[in-house]
Amino acid sequence: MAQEMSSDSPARAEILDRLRTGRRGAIAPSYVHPAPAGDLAALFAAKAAATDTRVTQLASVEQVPEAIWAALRETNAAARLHLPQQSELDSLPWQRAPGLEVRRERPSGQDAALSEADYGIAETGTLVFFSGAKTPSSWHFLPGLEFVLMPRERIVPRLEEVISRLGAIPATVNLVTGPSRTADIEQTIERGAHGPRELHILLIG
Amino acid sequence: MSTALRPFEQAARGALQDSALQGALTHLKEGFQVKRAHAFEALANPEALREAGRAIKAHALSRLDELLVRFEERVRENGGQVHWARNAQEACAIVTRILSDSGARTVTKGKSMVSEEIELNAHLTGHGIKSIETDLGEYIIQLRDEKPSHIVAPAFHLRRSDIEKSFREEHVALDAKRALDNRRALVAEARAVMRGHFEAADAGITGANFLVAETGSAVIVTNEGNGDLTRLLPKTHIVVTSIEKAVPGLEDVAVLLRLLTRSATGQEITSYVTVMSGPKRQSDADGPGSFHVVLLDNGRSAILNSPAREILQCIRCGACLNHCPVYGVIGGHAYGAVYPGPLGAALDPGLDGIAKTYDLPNASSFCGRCDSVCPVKIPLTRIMRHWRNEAFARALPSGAFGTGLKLWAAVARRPRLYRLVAGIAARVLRLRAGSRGWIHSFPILKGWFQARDLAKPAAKSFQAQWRKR
Repeated sequence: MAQEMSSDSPARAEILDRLRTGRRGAIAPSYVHPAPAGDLAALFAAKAAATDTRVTQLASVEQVPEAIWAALRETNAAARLHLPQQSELDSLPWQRAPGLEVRRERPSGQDAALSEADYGIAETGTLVFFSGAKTPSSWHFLPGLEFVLMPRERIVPRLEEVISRLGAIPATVNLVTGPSRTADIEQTIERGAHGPRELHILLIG
Repeated sequence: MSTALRPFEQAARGALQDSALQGALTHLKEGFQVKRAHAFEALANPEALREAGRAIKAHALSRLDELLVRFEERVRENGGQVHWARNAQEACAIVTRILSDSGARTVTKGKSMVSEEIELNAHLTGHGIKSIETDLGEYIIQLRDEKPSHIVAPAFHLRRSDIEKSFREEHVALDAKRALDNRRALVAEARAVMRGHFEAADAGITGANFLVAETGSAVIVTNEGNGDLTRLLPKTHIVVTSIEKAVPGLEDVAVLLRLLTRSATGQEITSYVTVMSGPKRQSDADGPGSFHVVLLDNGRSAILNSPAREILQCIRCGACLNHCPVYGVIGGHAYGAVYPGPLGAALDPGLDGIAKTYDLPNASSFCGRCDSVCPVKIPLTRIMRHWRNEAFARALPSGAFGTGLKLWAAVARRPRLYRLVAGIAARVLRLRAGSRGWIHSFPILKGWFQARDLAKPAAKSFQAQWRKR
């Protein structure tokens, strides 16, 4: 292994030495950002809608297959939905949407995919996803349309509540708020720069 | 003053006459200033948030060595590696070595100002590695072989027609008759072309907005999602970033994030914020097999020990650019430095030396708007003044300007002489103005009067009036 890579590299020692002489007394900040109060799910839904996200409220998780099928028919999209291999979402009653074809391969930029959020943040209408064996992170960026199952009881007030509930940190934590966008052409927002053009949250409960 | 224009003066003059650039710069107000103002107005206590941001960064800088050592430990525990680089050459060499060790020939790149600072793309090309920028703005300027003109919106200075032309020249495999006359078509074409690059890349390089010591994480803040595909699809992920990005914990990121996105684009949060902590775990469905962080110093540890220290609090939101009256008329390229605007005027002299960057802290009206919009309360004008003092101490201002400054200093330090000279000057200027209220020209000060008028001085000086009270 080359020299810079080891912890006794001259670059490391030299940089740290200079930073050590730059030490100053400074007070650790104690700011607490105000937490939103009231109906968190309603705030979450309103904030998500404000970032061009479609939000559909469903009474139970059993209704998810039909809701997705209906949404795809509405936009004249192919009735195909991509699910990760061995997903927890397999247990949904897919037989209730007989016209909906469930696929297992990685979605392309035109496809629709379904994920389940680990948390929702009410302050900003943000979805939180952890990487894992059954939850590939790239699926939040590959499809053209992403459906997200968001159980109401997992909506927390702020990002701080997500952080305080984190155990061992996953390799990738994605905070997703609205579809992919760019303003790089003439400062005007266009959706679907690289990630999904459309984000559709199914709020359960 | 010598008659030959310095590069900055020449570039600034060119920018003022560039009608396309002037058109783009009109977007600063509606595009950035208004959106930022609305985002801050919606906060219950924006000043408390700014003060918290300042305190978090100041506190982190006061123990940066400790944070970086902790960060390194945690990255290792997560299965990644940290590399230290004193300067641009070392950083480039580390990246090339990681790439050649893993046999990488093509890389995709997320947006990273540090990689611009070390001119990584040129270095990689020189080593036979194909590097493709994937942020739409960065991709466009890479096709045109330009540098970013804005730290948040790199292709800010270009028109749709410029971009169409570049795409037609580059994407020759596509139907030459295709319609590309609207933004949607341009974005769709870039998306499709880029998917191929993401799939083919051997390694992905991103920057980082924050480094988190407690968790060994690099955090990126984006709207497009290109940074994520850059990390997740190739087998190697390299984060190229600088040492001052470290903060203690994720809670600190939560606070700074609220300031960063509001200040940059007026958003409460961007579409994507990603916390990246090491390579994929063994059981993970996807993610990079290896994870490297290159920590660049390049003058920052020296800045930490200088009066310019607080510029290291910068979170690169670009608000100081968007609100600067000088940036607002000359744009980013004229500065001739990686970081333009007030941020650059305060930072670049620390990175490149004041001799090379002498014009930057002088390209300011010192109106202080940058100070008042900075989300982490960096005293930008004070730092610019520090660099101006440095420049004067090294006798950098040359020719008539340098002599003028010395003359001014000599007169201003002697009250009697000052009163005498000021009295004569006022009488001459009153004569010149005659019955008009303004002076529009003066024989020996043609340059100064080219862009300015001077009000006719009062009959009695302030000091004279004060004595009478």
